[in-house]
Amino acid sequence: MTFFIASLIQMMTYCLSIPILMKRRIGVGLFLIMLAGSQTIGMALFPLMGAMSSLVILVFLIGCLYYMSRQWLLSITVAVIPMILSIVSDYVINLFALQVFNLSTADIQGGYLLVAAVVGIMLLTFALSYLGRYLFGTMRDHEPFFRRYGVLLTAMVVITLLIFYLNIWIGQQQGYSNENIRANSILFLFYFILLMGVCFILIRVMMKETNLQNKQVQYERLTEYTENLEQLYMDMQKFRHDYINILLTMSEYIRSGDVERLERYFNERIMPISQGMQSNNYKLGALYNVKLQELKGILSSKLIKAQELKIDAVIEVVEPIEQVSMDSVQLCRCLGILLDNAIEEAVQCDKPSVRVAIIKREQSVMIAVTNSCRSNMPELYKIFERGFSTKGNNRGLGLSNLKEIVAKSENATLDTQIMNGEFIQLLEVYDASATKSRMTG
Amino acid sequence: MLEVFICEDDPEQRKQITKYVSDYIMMENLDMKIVVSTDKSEDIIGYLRNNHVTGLYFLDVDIKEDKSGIALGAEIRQYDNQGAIVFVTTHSELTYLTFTYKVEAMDYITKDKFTDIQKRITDCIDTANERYLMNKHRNRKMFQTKSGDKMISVDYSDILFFETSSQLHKIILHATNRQVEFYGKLKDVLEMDSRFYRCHNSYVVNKDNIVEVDMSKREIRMTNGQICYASSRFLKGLKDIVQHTNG
Repeated sequence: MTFFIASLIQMMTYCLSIPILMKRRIGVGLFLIMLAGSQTIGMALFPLMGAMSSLVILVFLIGCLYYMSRQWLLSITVAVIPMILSIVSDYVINLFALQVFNLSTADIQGGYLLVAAVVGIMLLTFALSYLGRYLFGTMRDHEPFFRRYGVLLTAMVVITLLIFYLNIWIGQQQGYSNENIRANSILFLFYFILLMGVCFILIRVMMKETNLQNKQVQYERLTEYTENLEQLYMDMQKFRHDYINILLTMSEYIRSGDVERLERYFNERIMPISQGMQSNNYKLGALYNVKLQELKGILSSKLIKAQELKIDAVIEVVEPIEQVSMDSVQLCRCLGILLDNAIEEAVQCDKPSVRVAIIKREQSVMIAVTNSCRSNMPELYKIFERGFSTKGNNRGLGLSNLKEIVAKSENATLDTQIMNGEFIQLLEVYDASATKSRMTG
Repeated sequence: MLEVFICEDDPEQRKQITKYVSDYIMMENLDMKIVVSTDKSEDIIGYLRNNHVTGLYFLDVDIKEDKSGIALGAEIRQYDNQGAIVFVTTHSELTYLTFTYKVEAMDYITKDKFTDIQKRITDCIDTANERYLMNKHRNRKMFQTKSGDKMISVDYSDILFFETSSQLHKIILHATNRQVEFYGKLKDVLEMDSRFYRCHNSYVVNKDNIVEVDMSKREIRMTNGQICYASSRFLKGLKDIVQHTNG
């Protein structure tokens, strides 16, 4: 009976650490299945295989997680880490018992001591899981990082687990002597700390690199914007140069009362200039009101790209935008997807147009992106499906990624609609201070 | 009665707009009246402060005051959230979306020689009147919910289903040609109309738009081909509904 309870607590440790690490709820149903399944396996196999039965449980848990997330690497990593953590905690507790209470492993094989030990292991594992979640969470926020090093990370944790079990197995052969436990504990602890250290440093380096890359991209975008402004300035200079001459000519016509030639001159020479004033360069003027450099960078670069594709691209920012309550990397990713998507679709229309507006509202900032779309647009829900794209395979990550980012952020909502031949996307980011009141609204 | 407000600082143009509006009201014998025609925004706000109205507002964007016509529009919204706002402007090109989403303006009229202003004004009057009458005889064809500053309204017949997001309190409404997120509880949504049915812990489906239910896969196919999910607990009730509507 004690064994049953101890085992159950241990399985609970695994099953509860998993959602802690993943930073998301896994649902009561799945949790119960995982718990019941691992408990059954544990009860059946432990008498036969001893500690090795955990490996079978591990395979089962990985299966469950894969069923839920459909991602192999993630399921393996997330299932293996709690095991490692609980082994480390196990040995730490054992070592503690040995050193402080002078209880050997044989003493805590049964009775309330076993339960107490297992509860201790559980608490320690949870604590470590929260620590792990912090590391893991930072990593998952940097998705490109996880994509690149996910395999490495998974291999690392799996190998760690194997090494641990190899040691345990050797210990088992030798009958768990106190010396053995002590040696193993120190070894595991040391190894574990080393591993954490390496991970931590790796993450720091990676994050620095990503930041640097982002900065580089931003810099390039701003350079482009500056060039655009310079072009504009040159145009103005040219106009200034011309306009004295224009005035002189006109005053000459007026003085001589030659209305007919004045009119011709006006229509042929001056009207074209005023039309030039409405040319593409001037349509980006409103970017002046965007006070966030990153945002300005991505907006200008995408809109210039759109104009190069002969799309009528316009931006409206009536009030200065100083703050958007969203992580700027995520915000730029969202905007990038929105604009790329709009441009891709608009290019295929007869009268391509893309319109962007950043609007300050009472409790939020709204980013509106609209574009002309073909009359035979596919159904909206299909566009959001992962892997869907109007341009063949492997390209359709855009909108599904966008939806994911927005779903994760707690103060942003997305509104997508097709109306009167226009594809409209509204991303609304609520101010941090309004987060509470919006619920009651 | 729909009350009409005009704010335009050019006296010539104000006279013109006022004339167009009053002529049309008289000609069509509409249930409307011009109550304020002014060049000062304060006149309109003052009237709104003292009277509870549903209005139709023609606002010049570049009034010669500290605040722009858009800011005036936003202020009007605080008193009259049903009213129809129409902007009259010289530079429509650069602020169209802002009109629409900042103050939920109904329309805008460009002041240039290419636009038939009279025609545009009468169009706006018609639209505003239609909307006003529809709202008055509330036949509840629209699902409406407020999320922050934003009013979301969708035709009931367009709604396919609601789904909870992974973020707490966030709901995604799936409609034909629209997907929109708002803050709320699925339970409250369920109570808003009898067409809605709770088919899953995280889904509420519009019964009218179900095409078929796959009992073994627990999937509901909607009119546009989209799939909504059901859980075994709620599947039985769904079966009764579908058989009922088919039979």
